[in-house]
Amino acid sequence: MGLITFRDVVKKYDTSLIVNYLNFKIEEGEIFGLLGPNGAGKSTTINMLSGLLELSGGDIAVDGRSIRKQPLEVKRRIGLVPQELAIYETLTARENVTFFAKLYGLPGKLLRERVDEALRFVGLLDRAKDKPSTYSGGMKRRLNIACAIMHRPKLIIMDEPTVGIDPQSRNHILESVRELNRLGSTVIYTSHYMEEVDAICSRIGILDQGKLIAVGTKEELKRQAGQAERLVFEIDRRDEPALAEMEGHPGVKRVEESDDGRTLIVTVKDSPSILQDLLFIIQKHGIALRQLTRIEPNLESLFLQMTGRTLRDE
Amino acid sequence: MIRVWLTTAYYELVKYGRMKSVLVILIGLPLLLILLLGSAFDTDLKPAKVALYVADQGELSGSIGEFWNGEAIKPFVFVLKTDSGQEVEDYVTEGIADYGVYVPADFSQKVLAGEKAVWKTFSGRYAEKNVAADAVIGRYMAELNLKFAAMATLGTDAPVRIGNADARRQSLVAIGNLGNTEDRLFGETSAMQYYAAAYLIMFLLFSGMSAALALLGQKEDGTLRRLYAMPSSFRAAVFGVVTGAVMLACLQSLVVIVFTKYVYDVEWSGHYLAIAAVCLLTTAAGTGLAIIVASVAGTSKSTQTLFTILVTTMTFLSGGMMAGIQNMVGIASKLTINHWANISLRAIMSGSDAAAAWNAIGVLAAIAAVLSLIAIFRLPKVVMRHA
Repeated sequence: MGLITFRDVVKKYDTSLIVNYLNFKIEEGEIFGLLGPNGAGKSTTINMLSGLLELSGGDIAVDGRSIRKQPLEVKRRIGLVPQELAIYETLTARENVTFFAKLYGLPGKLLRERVDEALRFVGLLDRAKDKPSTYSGGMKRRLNIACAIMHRPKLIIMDEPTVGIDPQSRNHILESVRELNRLGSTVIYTSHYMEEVDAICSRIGILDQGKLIAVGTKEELKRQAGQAERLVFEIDRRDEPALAEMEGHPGVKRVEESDDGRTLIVTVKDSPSILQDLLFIIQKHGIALRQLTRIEPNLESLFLQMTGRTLRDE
Repeated sequence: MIRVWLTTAYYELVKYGRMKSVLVILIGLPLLLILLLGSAFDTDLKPAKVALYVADQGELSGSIGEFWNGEAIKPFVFVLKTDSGQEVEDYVTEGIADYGVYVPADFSQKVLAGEKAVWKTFSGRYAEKNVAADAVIGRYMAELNLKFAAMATLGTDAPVRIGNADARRQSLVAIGNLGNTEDRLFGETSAMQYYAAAYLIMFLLFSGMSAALALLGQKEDGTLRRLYAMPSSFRAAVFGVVTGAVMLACLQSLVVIVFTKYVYDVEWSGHYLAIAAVCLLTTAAGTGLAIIVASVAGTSKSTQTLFTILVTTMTFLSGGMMAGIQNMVGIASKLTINHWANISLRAIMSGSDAAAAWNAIGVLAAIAAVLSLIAIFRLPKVVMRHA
């Protein structure tokens, strides 16, 4: 049994079906990426999981507790990092974390330790006495995270935690996510930035129009979508026999060439010796190779292939 | 639940304490408005300091002494005795006294001889003090003339008494608006008391708006969502946010009452429990109304605009901005929260009619209860994003 189990989860607004019978599991210790364009039902799913929205049907269990029957028990196990900067600008960083820690019921000394721990974790301990109004966007995002982790939750939900911040803060946050995961928390991570999900998530679920259209590891998803690696050859001249020989190779799916014939884009099947074979063909026909680039399939193209839309489509 | 409520309320109060603009508007502004309007309409004058030297030792010196030491003039003049006419003049010049009076040594003699006799007076820099002192002296001179006219007519044995014998029944000085209507305008309270009560009520209603704005603001910035995701009572947290605003209103009442009492000399009477009840009920009614408005308006900006219009209109109709308007608008005034709160406070302040005060407090309590109940039903619209 997974840490989180979605069973026939449905959310309806009037007659619109926003979340359409979700059924999947997230195992303990995973960093699970939830992808989907705007309106896919991502936020609704997260809101239902964190107890912010009632389910129209089905159930979600976290650590064996039902969100319908034991909402407080489920909430106790969750740390929610919302997309908005849900912090108080007039309180200092320490006061912000302390306030939420008190609402989690942390007592006296433990509270102080956990507040320090959370602030240290996000790198804000030395600025703990400052108000967020004096912080950069990235620092505010980090404080937003600190307010959700001081009770050491089993599950951390991060809803677009890197929106609108500088690369340095983004790297800090991504590293924090990995570290939280190493420390034992399961993480659900949503983002518009495909490369972030690609970099940190162990499994990915793709939502579209309220339906989970794919779920698995990156490799599994690529296999599902039949995506393949591409090799780009920059050569000195066009050579018709070499082109024909490449197209006839059993490990090649497709060969595209540029107008002047000096660039060949070869889409290959999953074959370990294919690169060696193609280089042999080039050499055999006396063609000089100027540059070789290998393009791995990525989530962006995978997403496009599966949904017909890019992640940032409105 | 209580822990969540108290924690949220405490942090709300901390947040308010750091919003300087809120403190200035909710505490500084009422004090300023009370001072401006109260001073403009106040008819209570402080006694003028009159430097006095009586050189006359003649037959009238007794009645002169009796006049200046009499109780009747004490509300209007405070006598500073001097040792010479020059000293009187110096006191006025140096600003030690507001007005000076020198009674010449031959005053009695001239009066009794039927000759023209005058007191030498020195006007100071404050016109209203000069008017008050002139009026006091004019009264004495008028009575003196009356006596000698009577003696001339009826003979020297006629039983005519000179001085301030009837002054107890009639004020020596009358200063105020034309037509002397201020008594009707401000009822049994002074202008300062009237406006202190009216503005306290108005700003308590605005404090009620703070609760609705805090809830809407926290919904808009996502902190309320975070509170909802906590494994604690969301109702207690929301109630804590409202309590923070109510505590701010209590603090506001305390500051306004203490400040106006000790700085502006506003007499609030000793019934502080009753005053506290009125303030609390007004805040409850204001908070309830603000939450209802917020549930309709949806955003903090439109709530602020709508509620400000509502409170300003209610204050105007109840005579809080212009005394007497409530008599002109009739029933419309009685439909406002301010009307019942003002009546309660003014009745408590004047201490004249306890029944009227409790009657008004009762109506105010009923209004607060109804508005609070409606607000509780409408609250999900304010705090829940998808409600």
